[in-house]
Amino acid sequence: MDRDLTTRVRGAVNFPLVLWATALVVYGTVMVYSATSGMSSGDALIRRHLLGIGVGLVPLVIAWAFDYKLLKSWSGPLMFVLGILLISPRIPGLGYEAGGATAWLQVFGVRLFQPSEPAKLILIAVMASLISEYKGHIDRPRDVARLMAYLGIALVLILLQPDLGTGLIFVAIALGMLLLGGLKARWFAVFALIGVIAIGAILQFGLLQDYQEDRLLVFVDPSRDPQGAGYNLAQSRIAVGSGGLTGQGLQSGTQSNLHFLPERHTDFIFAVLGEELGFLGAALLLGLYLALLIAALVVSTSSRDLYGALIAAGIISMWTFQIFENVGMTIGMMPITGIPLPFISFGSSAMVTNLAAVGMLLSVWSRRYGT
Amino acid sequence: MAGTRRRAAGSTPRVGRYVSTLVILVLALVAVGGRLVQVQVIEGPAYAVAAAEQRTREMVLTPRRGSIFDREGEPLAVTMDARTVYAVPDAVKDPEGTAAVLASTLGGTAEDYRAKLTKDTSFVYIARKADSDAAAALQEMDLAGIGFLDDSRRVYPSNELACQVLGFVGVDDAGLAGLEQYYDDVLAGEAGLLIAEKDPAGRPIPGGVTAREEPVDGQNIVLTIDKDIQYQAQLELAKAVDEWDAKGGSVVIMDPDSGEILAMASTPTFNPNSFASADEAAFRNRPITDAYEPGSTVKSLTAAAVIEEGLYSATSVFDLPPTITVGGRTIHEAHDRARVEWTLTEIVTNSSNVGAVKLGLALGEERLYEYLARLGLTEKTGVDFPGEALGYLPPVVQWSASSIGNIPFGQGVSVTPLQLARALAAVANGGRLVTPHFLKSLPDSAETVLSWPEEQVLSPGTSSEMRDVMKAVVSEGTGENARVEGYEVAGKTGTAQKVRTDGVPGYAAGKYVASFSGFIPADDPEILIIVTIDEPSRSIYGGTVAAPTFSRLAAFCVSHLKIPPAVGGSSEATAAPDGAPVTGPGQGR
Repeated sequence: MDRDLTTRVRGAVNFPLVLWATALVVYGTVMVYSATSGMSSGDALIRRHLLGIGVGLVPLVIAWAFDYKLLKSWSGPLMFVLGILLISPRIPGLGYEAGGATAWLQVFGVRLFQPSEPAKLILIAVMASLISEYKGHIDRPRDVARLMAYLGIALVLILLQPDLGTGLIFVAIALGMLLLGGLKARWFAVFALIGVIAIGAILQFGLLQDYQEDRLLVFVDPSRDPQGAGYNLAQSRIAVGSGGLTGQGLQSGTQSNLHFLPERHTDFIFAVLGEELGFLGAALLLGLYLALLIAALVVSTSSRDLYGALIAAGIISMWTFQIFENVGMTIGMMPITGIPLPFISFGSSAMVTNLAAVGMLLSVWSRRYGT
Repeated sequence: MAGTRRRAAGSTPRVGRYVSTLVILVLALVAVGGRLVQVQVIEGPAYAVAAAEQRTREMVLTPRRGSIFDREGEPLAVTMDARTVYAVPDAVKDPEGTAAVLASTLGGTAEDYRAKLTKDTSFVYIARKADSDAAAALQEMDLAGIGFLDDSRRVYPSNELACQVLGFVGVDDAGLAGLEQYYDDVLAGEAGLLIAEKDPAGRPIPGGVTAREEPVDGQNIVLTIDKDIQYQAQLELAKAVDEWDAKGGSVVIMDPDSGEILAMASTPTFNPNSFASADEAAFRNRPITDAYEPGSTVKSLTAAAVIEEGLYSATSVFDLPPTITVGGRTIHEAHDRARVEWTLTEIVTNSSNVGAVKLGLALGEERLYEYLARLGLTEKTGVDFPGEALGYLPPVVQWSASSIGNIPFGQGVSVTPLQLARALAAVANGGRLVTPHFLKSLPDSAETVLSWPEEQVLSPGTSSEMRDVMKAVVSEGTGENARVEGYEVAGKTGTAQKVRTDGVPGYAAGKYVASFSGFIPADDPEILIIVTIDEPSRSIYGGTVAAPTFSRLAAFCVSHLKIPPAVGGSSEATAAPDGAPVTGPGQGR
């Protein structure tokens, strides 16, 4: 009986995945604590962060227990929910505007969450369902067009908020899933071409908001406007750089504590980590991420069906892109966008979403033998 | 137990796609890691410097400047507490309202303050060294973005008193003129340094101090100036300048024995408490910075040289024609006279130009130059004051044939009043050329004995003989207006033409410098006074214009310093009983 239970637990739990995710959540909590300790609202923020983790365990467990395969046939309704979620902040009385975008859902004046966060997981479920229909061979233009139409709807809705960062995550998710889903290689070349043309058109016709254009220009030439648009980049780079090899110690980062760093507990928390824990701390974080992503990749390979493998692929793509973009922007590799660092940045919507994603991976893992 | 995988073809991704995915995510993380090595490990030190630079602000902790006292310990310049008001424009919420409040408490216009408050900078001075009470009132209002720093302010309690001598201090506490400048090293002290961490708005972080080096306060200094004599000198000078409607004037009062300067006055004056709004011409400490042709006063120096060389004595008699021609130039007396036979003393008392030339010819060019040089006319006095001027006495090789006919009575040579005071002090004090100076003591310094160089340039005997000659100037010559009741006075009048300043060689018509130089008591001089009046109107003669001022100042000094009257009676007793030829002020040349 004991042996049977042990076996069953082993079957249901991917220990590396749980271990690395737990380690990242703990690491993130330590960093949020350090980054907010100098703030007058520091205590309240760390409590909210812990609450977000606690709340996130609920969808984690539900997703784990829930048979992911049931979602496969619900792509229609899920697409509808996705649309509602992305539109909801734009519905009069339900939106809350912050940072130039209406990205929060608010009911009766109470801010609930950012719908774009759970929307990412729903997009993954929808795309996995669609892509899996082609059984690993996607080449016909009309099939590609159908997939792009779904992605396009989601993109248009998210860009209406406007939330360019999440839009880029959507694209990354779709590309990663198409890679594993068997899209012919030449289509990636076509996408690259379309991407270049699209960027050119966006710049040419001034479709970007002023602040977005400033961020791009500053990314190309960081010395431009160091007090304005380039300020965040300059300050985060100074923070990361001055951390050196071993860092200045938790709560001792002067860039962070003296308020030179903007958004230091949310989008720029990696700069705090880099400053306070140095290259060793940053390398540890990247190592944990690599371990987590490989564990997720193992989950994908273990899936007994393409649908489960694609769900895992979507989550891997989402995390990889967010890590690359978030860390990259603090050190001048990528333009600045408001994308949180998974498990590390303060923010309950993102934390709950990431924990739910872990639950979805566990759901795939625990049903790898299935009937 | 282990379930076998039952997978249909195409139901799971192919291995190659997994490899591609793995490669992509590893590449992404490796790229980030590589960039981190560059930023943190390789460029890390440079970023650390940038971080330190932008978060630290160095603030100079100003030391308290030492005070300046007169010889009796009366304060002439002191340092008072003040507050400097500054603004952090970013933090100012209501520039209009704040500017209005600043204008009403600190003075000035609201528009000026508004301009400062809206500047694109992180720090701007609103008012430096503001009055403590006004700043305190402002601080009570707790205006957003307005801050305060402890500061100090230089105050001159007696306003115009000794203004040119004391000079003044700039807003950054550096001495800019006068003794404030000369003794800046002693008075200023050493600045401390506060290295404070600041936030992006430039505000120091409470408790964020990283280093503090305490300032060392400046030392007090005590001057040789006597406040009461200085006051009297300025008062009498102003009266004389006013009375004679003169362009200006100066007074030097010195102890001929030590070179201590008891008073030094110039017109016009200014108030060093508000020097910024004063006319810069008033800053000149004329006895030190302005040279002029001394005229007849030099006759006493020429006479001293003749006696020192043993060529003649005070009683030697000279045959003096009405004029004398030297180097093709004919020298006249100030007032025509017949041929006379005068003693050396009478040459000086009657201020005879012809006589002085005869004395000069007796000496010869070389010896005349040598004595004037020995008496300090070719060098600065070495006074402890910035910007000392050097008069003009050309070396003999540059002399023309007629120079020996001019220089003996003070033409073709220029000196500052202080140079003349130093030369006459040597004549009066037994032959020692002293160094005039203002600094009496450094009470806060370990170095308590100050030494001022001096040199024996005349014999005591010559000095004694010259004192008698110069006594006669006052008792029976051109200087009778310099007499002081109860004391013997020695001195020499001077009435010098001014050289034209328009570039044309020669002297300016009607422009004179009238002076009287003398010492008291004549036999044991304790006070030497030189009164110089520049371009007096109505009268031009030193005996008329300057001598009365000398007399009143000398009388004040002997009374104030409790110098006992001459033993054996009044000056009247020693004045020539035969009512010697006081031929009126007209002779005073």
